[in-house]
Amino acid sequence: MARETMTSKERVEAALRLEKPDRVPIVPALMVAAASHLAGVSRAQVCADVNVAIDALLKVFDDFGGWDAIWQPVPDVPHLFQLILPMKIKVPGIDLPDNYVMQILEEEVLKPEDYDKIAEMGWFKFHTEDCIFRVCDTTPEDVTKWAIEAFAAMSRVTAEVEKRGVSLLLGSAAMHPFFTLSLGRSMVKFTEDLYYSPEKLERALKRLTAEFIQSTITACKVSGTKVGNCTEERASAFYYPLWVFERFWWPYTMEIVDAMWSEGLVTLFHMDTPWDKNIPYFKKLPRGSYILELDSTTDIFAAKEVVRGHGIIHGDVPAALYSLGKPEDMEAYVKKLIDEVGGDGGYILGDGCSTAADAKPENFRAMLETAKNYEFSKK
Amino acid sequence: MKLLIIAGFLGSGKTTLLLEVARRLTAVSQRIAIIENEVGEIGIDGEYLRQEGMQVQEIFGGCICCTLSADLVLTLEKVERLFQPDLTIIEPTGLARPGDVVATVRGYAPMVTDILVLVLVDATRYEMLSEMLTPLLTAQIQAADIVVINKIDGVDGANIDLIAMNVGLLNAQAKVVAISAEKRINLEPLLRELL
Repeated sequence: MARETMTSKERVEAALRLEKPDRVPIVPALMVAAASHLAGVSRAQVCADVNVAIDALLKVFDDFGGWDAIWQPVPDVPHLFQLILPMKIKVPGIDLPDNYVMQILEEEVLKPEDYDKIAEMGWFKFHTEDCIFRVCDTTPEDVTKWAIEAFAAMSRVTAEVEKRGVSLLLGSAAMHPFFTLSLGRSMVKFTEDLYYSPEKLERALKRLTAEFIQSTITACKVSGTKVGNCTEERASAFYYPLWVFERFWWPYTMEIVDAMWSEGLVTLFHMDTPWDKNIPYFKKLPRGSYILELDSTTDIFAAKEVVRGHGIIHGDVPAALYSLGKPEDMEAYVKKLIDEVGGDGGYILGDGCSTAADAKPENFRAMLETAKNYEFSKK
Repeated sequence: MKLLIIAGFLGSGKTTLLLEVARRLTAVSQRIAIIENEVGEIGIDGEYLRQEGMQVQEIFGGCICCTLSADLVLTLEKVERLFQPDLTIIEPTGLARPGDVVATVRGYAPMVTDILVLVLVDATRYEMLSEMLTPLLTAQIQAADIVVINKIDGVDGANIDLIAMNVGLLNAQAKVVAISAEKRINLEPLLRELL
């Protein structure tokens, strides 16, 4: 049987250049809900302390034999998540039983008049001086401490991945401006705003986009990574008709990708919900400038045909397969992904959305082992 | 196990209708279990409903059509094992497509024998939502066995007829019932469909 000829870093970098590595690189989207489950730590513990969350993530990495890159720079523990999220969070161990998954509440946090404030003062200042206090009971001093804590967590994750000879895939954890405002307003109110007062909303989107670009480029440079994250779960043709996408999402997206690409950075779109009808738009972006991280509700095989040789794909082992399937089902699906999506490069194996919160350990292991061995077993 | 999925966009009145349906079916000696996937503006008072003879299970942290599909299946197994209800009612999040929930149940929950999909549309916001969220509303309506036009106390009769006609164009097979869950208007015809 053939053997690996690339390091993990070389493998991921080859995929980012749309080339075919020695085997498909593996980067599970392991968040704290699944990491705690697989590491045998309660969700209350990982949510209370980012270092416990990092320990859990590293334990899973070490216990399962590792993979090619760690996905996110800072684990998604609730209080650090609040630094970017304009929503209330119910926390395991505080608001929920210890082993529940944290719950994000869909409520109207932002008011219509906030669009003008955001356009004038900028999102970051608005969020850290005003909005964050609407969604959690905290103080300005704590917010400063959390920011320092997040930076320290990123430094620790970066050092730990280096020790293991792998890399960090994402240099930032940010949400698309459209998604940020939709979450803060609630989808119902945000949709009404798109309909009744689009100009106000567009001014806020413009300001948010400029800040997104600046903060993401800075974060990637500080962490030494080539990929910035842009999460979007609500702009696809699953919810909105294409004219909404074309007016309120796509222009800002092109601006983000062009700015990132001009700095040598790739934008990863974490795309939940089916994006099948939106995927062709991405071919208007520069070749190799974007990663489509698909959640298994978009047809990844059809998406590959659309962006083959042009865009990188990451995904999409389904949550149900992790939680309800058998190892042989997992093996068969991973082989299909490798054959049909990874065949000519530009592909990173990962999860549909994120590793399922209740993934069976044997299925997680089957995913990793199949991906590490399948291509070599054929040579 | 018989399953009733009460779906519809955020704010369409799912929880209000669910509570009303559950109370009325319990009153005619039906054993009702509720699986709740949404923490909405109207909370489900699990303890109160248990005293009323219903079983309530909550699924937190995501959408049952996506990352928590295993939780849904395990919850259905638990409900069947412990409670053996005449009817299990699921309220998925308002951002879900009921067809995806049905696919998960059909694929992984063999204990479910019958599935009825009820989709609510909000009569007061139908025009705006049907223009702005066309794909979601279309998918929700097309997956329905029964489409319930809710909040009819907030619009005039001509509007209700127009909505019913639009719904009929999207899904000619679905039964269409116009109600106000909050004002308890026209609930009897709907309950007859469910029994």
